[in-house]
Amino acid sequence: MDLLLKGLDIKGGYELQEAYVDAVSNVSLELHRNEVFGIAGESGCGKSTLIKILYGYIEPPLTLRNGLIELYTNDGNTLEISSLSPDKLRKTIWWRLVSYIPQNAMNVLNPTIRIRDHFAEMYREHIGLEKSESYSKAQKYIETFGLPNDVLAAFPHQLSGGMRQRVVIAISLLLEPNLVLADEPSSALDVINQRAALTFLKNAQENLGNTLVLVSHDMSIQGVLTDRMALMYAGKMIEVGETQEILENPLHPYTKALTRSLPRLGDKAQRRGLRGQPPDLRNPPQGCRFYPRCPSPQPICQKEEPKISETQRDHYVSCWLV
Amino acid sequence: MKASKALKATIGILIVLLTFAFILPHFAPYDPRRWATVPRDQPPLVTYPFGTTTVGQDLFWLSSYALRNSITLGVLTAFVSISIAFLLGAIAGFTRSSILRHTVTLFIDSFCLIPGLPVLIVLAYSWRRYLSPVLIALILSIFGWAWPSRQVRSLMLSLRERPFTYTALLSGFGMIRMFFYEYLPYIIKWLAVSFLGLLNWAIGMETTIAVFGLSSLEEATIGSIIYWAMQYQAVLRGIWWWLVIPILILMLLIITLYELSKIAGELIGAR
Amino acid sequence: MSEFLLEAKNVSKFFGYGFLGRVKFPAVDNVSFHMESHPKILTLAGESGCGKTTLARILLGFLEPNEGTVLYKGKSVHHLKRKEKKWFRREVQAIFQDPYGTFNPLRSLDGYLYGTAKNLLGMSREEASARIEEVLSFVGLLTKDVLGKNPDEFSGGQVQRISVARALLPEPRLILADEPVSMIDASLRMNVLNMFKELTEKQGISFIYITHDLATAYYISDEIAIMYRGMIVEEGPADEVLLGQHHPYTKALVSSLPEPGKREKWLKEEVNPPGMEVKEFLAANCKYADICPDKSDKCLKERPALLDVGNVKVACWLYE
Repeated sequence: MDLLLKGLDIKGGYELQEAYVDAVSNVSLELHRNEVFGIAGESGCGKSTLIKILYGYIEPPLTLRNGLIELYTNDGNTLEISSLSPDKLRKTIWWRLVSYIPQNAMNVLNPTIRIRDHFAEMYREHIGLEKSESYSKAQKYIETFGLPNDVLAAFPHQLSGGMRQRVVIAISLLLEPNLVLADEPSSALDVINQRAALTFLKNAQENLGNTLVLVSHDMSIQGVLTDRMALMYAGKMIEVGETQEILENPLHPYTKALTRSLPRLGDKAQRRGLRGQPPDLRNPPQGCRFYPRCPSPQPICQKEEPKISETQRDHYVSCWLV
Repeated sequence: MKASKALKATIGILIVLLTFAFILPHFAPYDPRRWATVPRDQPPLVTYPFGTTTVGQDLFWLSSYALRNSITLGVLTAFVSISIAFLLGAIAGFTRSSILRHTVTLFIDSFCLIPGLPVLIVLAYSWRRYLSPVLIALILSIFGWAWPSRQVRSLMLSLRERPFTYTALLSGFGMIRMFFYEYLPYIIKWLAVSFLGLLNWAIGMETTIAVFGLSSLEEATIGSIIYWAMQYQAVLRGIWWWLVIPILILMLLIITLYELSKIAGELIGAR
Repeated sequence: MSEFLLEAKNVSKFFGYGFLGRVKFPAVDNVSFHMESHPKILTLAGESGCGKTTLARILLGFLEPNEGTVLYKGKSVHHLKRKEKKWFRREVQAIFQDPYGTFNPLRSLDGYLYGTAKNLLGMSREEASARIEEVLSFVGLLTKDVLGKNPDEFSGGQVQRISVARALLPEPRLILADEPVSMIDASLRMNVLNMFKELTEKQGISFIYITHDLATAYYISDEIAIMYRGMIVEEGPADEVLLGQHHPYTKALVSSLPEPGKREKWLKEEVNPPGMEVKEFLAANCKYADICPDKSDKCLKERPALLDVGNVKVACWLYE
């Protein structure tokens, strides 16, 4: 089957003492096999929260209030991730079927053990290999990624940030999961290191044929890496479609404003930013959440939330203007 | 300020302890330190709520005196230690002069390495004839200031590098303003937490050396009570209250002070 | 008598590391550049560790260089007399990267605004209030919305604008902006950058814009200097430097920018990220040589000076 994951009406957020932050509000999405799917949006839009929910990493104050997430395995089974216990997730799903690369992942490595021991631990826990076997297996593994041999003997702090990031990516792909969730995998890196880490990730995806979900606020990165893309704003998914299509022909006013405000080398034309701020998600507005900042608001936008409509093939948008 | 149950309980116990230590002694019907004032070895009952000791002391009033001395000694130590720590730490953190900074830092670090307890025991033994709570407090201060001083130094260094320091400089403010206005909330937080921590530490240290008989044995402290109780084999002879009561009081005091320092850390000054 | 607004001459700053701090490595290595009096925006571009922030601190007078001088309107910045220091603070201001770190989170913003007016301009309370209202309106904010509040009551973009307002109070001639928009959402960056452009054009204020983001640098700069390992490796008019790509490092930087049009090339070409080895900082030869694809023998022996290539200066033996 071409479909890998289906998420329906996901609603999750943070339970704080004074209020509930509606971080992800009625989001539905479909992920296909062997594709790179991007989730874009600015700070506070809910993309990191959505990724955590898809992975099943739901720790208080994060709660999942509603939603169905189904993962379709290679041998035809359907796993309901949204209802599995953390224990079950850890034993059967995490690392094997779904991998998660969190933000600032390069700091996730244990500073007191060498890189090869990180691999050894993974092998021991999931496949039950002995140390010596793990070491030689790790050696061959990182060679396939083009990483230098001396990486294995090093401690994390001896490697640069960019190299550490690539190591973390390699570890996350160890058991060849079907789905890799990467949350801003390169935001802490400089331009050249960023390119190295991202091309690394993309090449791995091509070789293994898995599905990569790339969360990034950087639209240029979305443009070069992803096949399809979803844009989030204030907890809502407002536009979904093929990446090139969205970048060339954005439909939602927010997408339009965002793509138009980005500076590009070689283009000195005057650009304009948006005015205002995203809404406070402890008290989200009733109608369209983009209404206060929309350059062409309609009366209905304030009262009712727009439904998702399909315009061209596979290009969905949530806006009354369309 | 949310008055949670833990906060209320802590403050409540603290008030009880302070009352016991500082108000009650004024009402003692006799000098509880003197021997043979009351019948010996009486178990805790209504007449003698904490019982009496083998040398004829009323443990209730004695504990009250002892607690007062222990706390006073601790406060004095904490005060002297913090003063030295702050002075030296601030110099080490703030000064532009590289030489001064390295010298003072080296000085502080050297003191950190001195093994406190062994030296303390030696000193206390050598001066055991002159030991009074005040002298003990001063001796303890010699060992207490070093580690907090390191904290002050790193606090100052990090504050100096915060962007808002530069903003204040760009706004034409000088270092005086920086210290007493910009940094003060951060400093106060450290002061409150460290003071309570040092207080706790001092009380614990004094008790430790007292148990070895190296404290002021005429002036009662919680530690000295424990010392005498052990000297007279209290538990073996069934006079359990002589040992258990001071230990319980000590535990209560230390736990309360610890909770208080946690609360101070959350409520006072900077986040 | 210098006719330049700002001039840095052979500025070097060493930091010690290792035992007793005896090994010195140059965070800023023999940097010279100047800004003319005509208002313009100069960008200091480079990745983290290239020395741009250290250089900024030196230019602002917060850090003393080990070698070289910084001249503002002909006067040495690190040898100013008391009165001159105040004058310098009025003329040269700065804004920083983290909006919420710029102001003390425990104090209200008023202190900085009124403080600047009083300390640098000697204004009375009323005079200060009037001037504050003026600068706040220029950045698009109302006095009543700003005064009496703490930084965390505003969004990042708003705090950054307040930061700019504070910098504008003494009518400066030069503002150093250290990564001013990198912590603001992409859709709001343009507002701040357009404001810089307007300040240059309408109020004659020069900017030194410090960033690693070449796209925004291209958008607002007139001139740009690319820094690598404490040195300036290329400088000149922004268009010519960024589109001409003379120095191999500039080429590497520009080609690493993800542009949807260059997708295939971006994904498939081999990438060679610079390491963070201290020995690269200490190298006496060209510092980029060990990863440069076009290196020659001379590059491994001698460090190149800045050579003229048309309007651009490039520190690379390829252009000899």
